[in-house]
Amino acid sequence: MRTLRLYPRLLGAHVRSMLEYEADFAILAAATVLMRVVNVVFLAALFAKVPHLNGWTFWSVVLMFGIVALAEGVGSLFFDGMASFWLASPSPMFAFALHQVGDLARFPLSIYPIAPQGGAGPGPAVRVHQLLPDRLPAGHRAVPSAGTADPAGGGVLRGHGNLDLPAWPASLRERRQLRAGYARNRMETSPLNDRLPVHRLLDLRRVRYAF
Amino acid sequence: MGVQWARLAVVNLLSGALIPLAYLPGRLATAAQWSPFAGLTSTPALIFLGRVGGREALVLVAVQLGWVLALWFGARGLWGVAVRRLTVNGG
Repeated sequence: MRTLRLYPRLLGAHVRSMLEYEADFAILAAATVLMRVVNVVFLAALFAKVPHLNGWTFWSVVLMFGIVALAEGVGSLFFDGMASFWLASPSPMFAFALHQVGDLARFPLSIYPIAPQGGAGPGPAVRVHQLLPDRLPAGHRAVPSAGTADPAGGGVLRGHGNLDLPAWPASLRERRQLRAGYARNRMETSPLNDRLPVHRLLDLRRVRYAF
Repeated sequence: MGVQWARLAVVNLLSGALIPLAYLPGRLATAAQWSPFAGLTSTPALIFLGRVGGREALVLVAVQLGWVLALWFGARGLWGVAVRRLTVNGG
């Protein structure tokens, strides 16, 4: 059930991070189309020389290629990295698996890169606002959180609304403005990324950083 | 990442890695044979397979060399322009 609740959130975060740089997103989309076109050109060139390949014609192969491409597209659009995400149930394997495959599963590590990778080992609870003490952009407050003592004593990252972040800007122009302000502030992580409430996400999973 | 993918697609087709360049439709084949990508797969393959002999092979390698020079200085020039407009925050 937890995984089910996490899934749309991670998917949304994934899409948002892809959209952070719009030009890059457009180039990636165009490149994907180009890939498919190149593959069809290859098939066309091949079948121009060999009209029947053991009973297969150009159009039957193109049909099959299209079906495979469609399935691949659906797969990488909605389920990229799902397997490792699912396998990574709350255990030390979690952190290990995060480094393995897939864009969806990488999220918790890539947004707050300092948090889990510091090699701190089991220790006091880590709070996001402690990790980013004075690095919040203008208009963001670091909210002191209520007690986060973990009964088990492990370093458990828990969510108590540590980051008070603005709403995701709806329009393209607003996003551009926000990004421009962010560049001026010389921040390392964009506030757009911070919209993902990672801390709560980790709390849902009750991840223990046992490494 | 997008640029990387696009490069992969173009290089695969125009270098002859997918299919011999001669199999491509007329003009595309000519363009691909004179493009810098041909030097990646097509030229060495043609020479090793003995499809092109001494003189032709020399011409192909010379074309490749010409591309090396052109692209080397082209890339340096472009890089020089790009670096002047680059701002890096943090590292």
